[in-house]
Amino acid sequence: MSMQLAPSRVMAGPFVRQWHGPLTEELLRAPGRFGLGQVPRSKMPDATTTLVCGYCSTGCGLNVHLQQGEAVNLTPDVEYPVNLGMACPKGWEALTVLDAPDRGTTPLVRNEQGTLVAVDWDQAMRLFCQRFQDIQRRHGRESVAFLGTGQLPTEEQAFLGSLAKFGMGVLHGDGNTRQCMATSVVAYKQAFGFDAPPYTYQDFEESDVIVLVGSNLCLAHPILWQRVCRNPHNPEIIVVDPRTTETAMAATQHLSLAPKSDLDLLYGLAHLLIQEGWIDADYVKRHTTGFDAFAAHVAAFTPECVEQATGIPKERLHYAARTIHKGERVSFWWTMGVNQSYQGVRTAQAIINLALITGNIGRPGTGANSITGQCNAMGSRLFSNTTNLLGGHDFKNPEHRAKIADVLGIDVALIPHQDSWAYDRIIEGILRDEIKGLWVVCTNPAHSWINQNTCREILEKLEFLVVQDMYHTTDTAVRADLYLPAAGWGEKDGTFINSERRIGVVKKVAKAPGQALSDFAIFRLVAHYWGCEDLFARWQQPEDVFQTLKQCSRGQSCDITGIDGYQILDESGGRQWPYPHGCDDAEPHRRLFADGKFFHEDGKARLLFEDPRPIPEPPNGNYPYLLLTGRGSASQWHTQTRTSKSAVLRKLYPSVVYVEINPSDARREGIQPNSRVIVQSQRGRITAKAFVTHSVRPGQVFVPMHYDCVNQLTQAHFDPYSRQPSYKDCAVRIAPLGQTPQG
Amino acid sequence: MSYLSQDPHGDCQTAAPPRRNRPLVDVLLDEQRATAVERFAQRRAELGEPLLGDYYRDLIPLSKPGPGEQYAFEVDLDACSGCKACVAACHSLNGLDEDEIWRNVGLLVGGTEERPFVQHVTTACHHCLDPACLEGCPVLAYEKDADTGIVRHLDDQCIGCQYCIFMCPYDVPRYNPAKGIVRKCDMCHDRLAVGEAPACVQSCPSRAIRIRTVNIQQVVDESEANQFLPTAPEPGITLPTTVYKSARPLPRNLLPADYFSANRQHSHLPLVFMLVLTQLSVGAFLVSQLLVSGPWAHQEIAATVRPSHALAGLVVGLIGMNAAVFHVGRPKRAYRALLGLRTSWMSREILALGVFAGFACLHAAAIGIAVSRPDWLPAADGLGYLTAASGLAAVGCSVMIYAKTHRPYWSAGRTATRFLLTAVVLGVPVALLISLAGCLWSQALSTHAVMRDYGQALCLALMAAVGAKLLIESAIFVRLRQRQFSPLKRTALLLTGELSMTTLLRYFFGIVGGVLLPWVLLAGEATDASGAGFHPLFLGLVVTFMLALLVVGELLERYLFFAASVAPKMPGAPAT
Repeated sequence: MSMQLAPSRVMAGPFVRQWHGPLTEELLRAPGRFGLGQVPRSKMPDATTTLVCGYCSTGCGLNVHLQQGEAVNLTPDVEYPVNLGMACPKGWEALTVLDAPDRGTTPLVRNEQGTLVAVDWDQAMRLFCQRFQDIQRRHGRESVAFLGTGQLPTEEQAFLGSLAKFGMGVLHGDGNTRQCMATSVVAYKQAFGFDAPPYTYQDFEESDVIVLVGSNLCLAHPILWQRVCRNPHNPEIIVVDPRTTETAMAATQHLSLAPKSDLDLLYGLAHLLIQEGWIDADYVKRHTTGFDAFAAHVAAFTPECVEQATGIPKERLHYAARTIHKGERVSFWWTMGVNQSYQGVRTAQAIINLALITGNIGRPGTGANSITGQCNAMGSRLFSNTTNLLGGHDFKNPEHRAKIADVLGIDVALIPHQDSWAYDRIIEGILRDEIKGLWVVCTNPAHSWINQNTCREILEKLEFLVVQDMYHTTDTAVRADLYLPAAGWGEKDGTFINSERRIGVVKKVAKAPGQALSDFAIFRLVAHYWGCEDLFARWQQPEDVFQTLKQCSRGQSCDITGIDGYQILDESGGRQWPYPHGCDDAEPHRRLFADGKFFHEDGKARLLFEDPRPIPEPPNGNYPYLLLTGRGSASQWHTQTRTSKSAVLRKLYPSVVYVEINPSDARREGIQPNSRVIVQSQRGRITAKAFVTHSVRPGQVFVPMHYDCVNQLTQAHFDPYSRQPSYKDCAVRIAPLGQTPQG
Repeated sequence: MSYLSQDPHGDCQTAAPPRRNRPLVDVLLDEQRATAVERFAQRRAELGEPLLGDYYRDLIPLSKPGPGEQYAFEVDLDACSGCKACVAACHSLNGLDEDEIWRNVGLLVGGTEERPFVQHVTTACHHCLDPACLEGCPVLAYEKDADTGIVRHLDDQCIGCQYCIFMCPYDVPRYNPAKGIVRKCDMCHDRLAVGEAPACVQSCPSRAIRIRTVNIQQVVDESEANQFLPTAPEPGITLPTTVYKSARPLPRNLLPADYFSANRQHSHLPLVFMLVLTQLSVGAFLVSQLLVSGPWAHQEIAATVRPSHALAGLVVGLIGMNAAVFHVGRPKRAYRALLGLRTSWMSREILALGVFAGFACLHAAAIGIAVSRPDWLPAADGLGYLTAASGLAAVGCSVMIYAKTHRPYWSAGRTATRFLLTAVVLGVPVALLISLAGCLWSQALSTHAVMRDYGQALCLALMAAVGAKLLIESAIFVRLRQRQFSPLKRTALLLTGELSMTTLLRYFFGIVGGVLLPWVLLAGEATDASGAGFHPLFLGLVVTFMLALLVVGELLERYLFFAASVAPKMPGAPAT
C-alpha cells in the first residue's frame, strides 16, 4: 500500500490553527538548570536539595525542586549512590501525598457522642497527660504502652523511645518494624553477634550468582532490581518463591517451592554443597563455629527428602547447588517471604549458613543480605529504644544503662532493667487488661496487624487510645480517643538509615497543613506537659538528638562518632555505619566482614539451625487453600495511608481487593475470571475480585496486603525468636459470591 | 549558603528556647511554619547539561530521521519489570494535571502450570503513521510532524469534542474536563530536539524504553503481517510505530489481565441528547414533508399542515444544529469545526446539520410567502425535500462518526439502523402532532379526519418501526451465548449486568410509547367525529405522551449505546 501522510499545516494558515496560547503554554518545558535538563516551565526551580525517600528501605535520594523555599516537584538524584537518578512511582509521587484533604490539621478528641471534634494543642496535651497519668496511677506505670514505626526519622524514634521510657515511665513499647524485619535482626544478632546487614547495594552489580529468597525485588524494591540490571557479569539469578512473580519471570532459575518449605530447601542446598565438597572449608574453620553439628543436621536433608517437602525436583536442586558452587561471587538476599514466617529466624540463618560455608561473605558481590522494608527500619533497630537500649545496647546490662544515662545526662534509675514486650505481647496485654492506655505513632495496626477482627476488638478494650499520624482517616486513627496531627516526610528534618546501613538526611521542604506539628515537636510538647522536659532540654532540634545518638553508638558495632553532622551526610551522599571517630573513608560503597571478624567475642560467626516445622494451619478439608499475602505493586505501600492519596498512583494498581487463583482451582470452584468471590478463613471472610492466573500454584491463593480487609483472614502466629507475625500461611476456602464457601 | 554550614549545634542555640511569655506550642508552630530554604545546598545551580545524559545517551537516536523515517518508541519487554516509574515520571516531568497520565502499564498473563507467564506492557501514544485522532479531529488540532513523525496535539486549537478519543484504537488521547480539551503524549519532542531523552526513557530503571528511528515502509509491512503486540488492536487501522520486542517466545494463550472485565464506558450525555434530538429533527421534517407533499396529500392537508410543518421544521432544525455544540469542551471555539472537512466526519456532520438548519429556514420563508403567492408552493416543497435530504445526510455523517471508530458495537450496520430508525420512531409522532396542531387554527380539517386519512396508518407504521428497532437492539443478547469473551459479549454482559436497570427502562418506555399508546389510537373512536369518539384534546394528549415516552426511550437507548460500547485498547492491568 502507499502511505499518504496526514495533511500538514500547509492547508491552513496560522490564523485558523492556533499553535500557541495559554493552554499550550501550560505544558511548555524549559531548561531547569541544576543538571536537571528540561522541566515543566511552571515548575522551574530556583533551588534544589536532596533528601532520602520516605517509603522503603532502599533509601533513594530524591532531588526536590524548590520555588521560594517550597517544594514544587522532584526528580531522583543522579549523584546519590543508592539510586543513581532513578525512583519508583512512590518516590516520584512522594510530594503529592502531602496534599490530601484528610491531612490532620488540628488535634481531635472523641466527645461523649463518640465523634471526633477539633481541640487546640493545649487541650489535647492536657488530656493526653491527664488520661495516661490517671491510667498509670490506677493500673501501674507499665499499663501505658506505645507502638512506633520504621517510618520516622531516627531522631524522632529515639525521642519517642526515650520520652516514653525515661520520661513517662512506660515499660513496653515496640514498633511496626516487628512486622517487617524483626526476624532479620534476631538472625543477624545470633549469627554475627550484632544486627549487622553486611552488604552494600554495589554487591548486586558485582555478583555472578544472585540468590533471592522470598523477595519480589522487581515490585518491592524496584531500584534494587535496577542495580541487578546494571550487573555487567550476566549473573545467574536464582529466585526462591512459591509464586511466579515479576522477579521469578526475570530469573534464570525459579525454584517454585511449596510455601514455607524454604528451610528444607536451604538445608537441602547445604547438604549438597557439603556432600559434594563445594564448601570453603578453610573459611569455615577460621571464621565460624558449629559446622560439624550443622553438617550432621543437614545430612538428613537428602535431595529426595527435599523434593518431597518442597516439590522441587532433585535435579533442579542439584543444579542450583552447582550454580552456587560455580559462582565466584555469590550473594544471597531475602525479604518478607523469609521474615514473615513462623520459622523465619532459622530460615534467615539457613541463608546465612550458605554464605558462610561457601565463603561468600566479606567480598564484593557476596553476602547473606536482608533487604529491609521501611525507610528507617534500620534506624529503629538501633535507636528506637524499644527492643534495644539506644545504640544497640541491652536494657538488662548495668554497664550499658550507666553508659547511656551518662551520655543523656539523666539518672540511671530512669532506665528500665528489662526488655519491652514485643508487639504481639502488647496486644495480648491489652486483652488481658495489663495495658490500658496505648500511644500509636505513625503506624496502622487496625489494618496491618495479623488476625484483624480480633485486633480491632482488642483495641476497643483500651481506656485511652492516642493516634499520632499525618492523616486522621487511617483505620487506627478513626478508632482513637485522641488524634494528634503530625507533619509528614518532607515537612521535617532528621535522618534515615537504609538497608545497606547508609545514614541519609531528610529535610523540611514543605509546610505542614494547619496546626500539624512534626513528631519531634509533638514529643517536645508531650515532655513539656508531662513535666519531664528537663530530661530532654538539650534536644531542641533533631540534629541535637543525632549528636546524642552518635555518643550512644561509641564503641558499638554501629559506631557513628566519625560523622560530624547533617551537613557532611548531605554533601557525601550519606554515610554507611560503622563510621567511628577518626574514620575518613570516602568510599561510597562499604561492606562488613572483609577481615572475617564477626561481632561475637570469639570473632566467629555461628552456624545455627533447627528442624523445620509444619505449617500450623495447613490447608485441610474445610479450608483447602493456602493464603499467601504480600506486595501487590510498586505503587502501593503497606496500608496505603499515603499511596492512596496520589491520583497517579491510584491509577497504577487495582482499586479493589483481588485474589490471585490458579486456573485449575478456579475451574473447580466454578469461579469466573474477574468475578467477585468470597475468601474465608476461620477468622473472617472477605469479598474480592478473582484474578485467575498461573502465577499462583494450584492449592494456593494470593491477596495483596494493601487492602484493609486482608488481615481479617490471617492467623496470629509468630516466630518464637523474633515474635514476627507469619502473614503468609493460613488456610482459606473460596467460592463465587452468593455461594457459601465449601470445604 | 550551604546546608548547615554553621556549627552543628548552632541551630540549637539560635533556635529560640520557649520564651517565658510565649506558650511552647506557639513556638513550635512557628518553627513548623518557618521556611528553611537558606539552609539548603545549591549544588549544580548553573549546570545546564542534564546529569542523566550519560545514562540515556544510547537510548535515543543520534540524528534526526531521514526521508522515509520517523521516531518511534521501542519497548524491550524482557527488560520491563512492571515498576511503572515511567508513568509517574512522565506525569512529573511534563507537569501534567493531578490525575492525568499519558503513559500506562498493562499486564499480559498466560502460560502453563509449568511455565507461567507474566509480562507488563508499558504503552503511550504510538505516533502512528496514519493517526486516527488526526483523521477524526474536526478542527485540525493534530499535527504529524513532517521531520520526526511525532503526532502532536495543538492544545489551543482543540475544542474538546473528544472525537479523537473515539477514533484512537489505543485509548491514548485523554480528556481534561478542567481545561475542556484533550491532551496526549508528545514524545517530549522538545527534549529530543536538544538531545535529551523523553521522560519515560530517562526514568526507566531497567532501560526498557528507548526512542529509535523506524523505516516507514517497514512499519507498513509489519502492520500488514499483524506484527505489533499480541492482544493489542490490529495495527492495520492506524499503523502504530511503537516496537515491542522480546527474545522470549510468547505463549499462545496470552490475554490482557483486564480481558474478562467489562467496564461501563463514559456515557457522553451531551452526545446522547444531541444525537437523539438531531435524529428527531430530521425524522420529523422528513415524515412531515412526505405527508404534505406526497401523492396522498389532498388540498386540506396541504393547506392546514404546511404552515405548522414549516414552523416546527424551523424549530427542530435549529435545535438539532445547536445540540451539537453541547458536547464541545470549549464551545466558544466551535466555529473551527469545519476545518477538518477533508478527513473528519465530525466536521461533515456539523456542516450537514448547518445546511439542514439553513434549508429549514429557507423552507419556512418560502412557505410564508406561499401563503399569499401559491405559485411559490412547488419551490417551497422543493426546498422541503432539500431540507429533508440534507437532514438525512447529517444522520449519515453521524453514523459514519461512530462506524469509523472500529468499535464492534458501533459497526456501520448497527449504527445506521439505530440512527435511521430513531429518526422514524421520533419523526412519526412529531409529524402526527404537527398535523393535529395544524387543526387548531384550520377549520378545513378535523383531528378525526387526520386520524382517518393517515393518522392511524402512521400509528401502525410507528408500531412496526418501534417493534423492529427493539428487536434489532435485542440481537446483541445472542452474544451472551458466545463462547469467546468478545467485545460484543462484553457489551451484552454490561447491558444485562451493570446496566440492566437502564436496559429494562429502555424497553418499558419503548413498548409503552411505541406500541401500547399507538394501539389506543387504532380504535374506532379515534376517527369518529361524532360525540362518541375521542375528544380532540385526548388525541393530542395521547400523541404527546407517545412522543414523550419515545423520546425518553430513545435517550436511554443512546445512553446504552455509549455506556455499553467496548472500545479497543491496549492490554490493561487487573481490575483497575
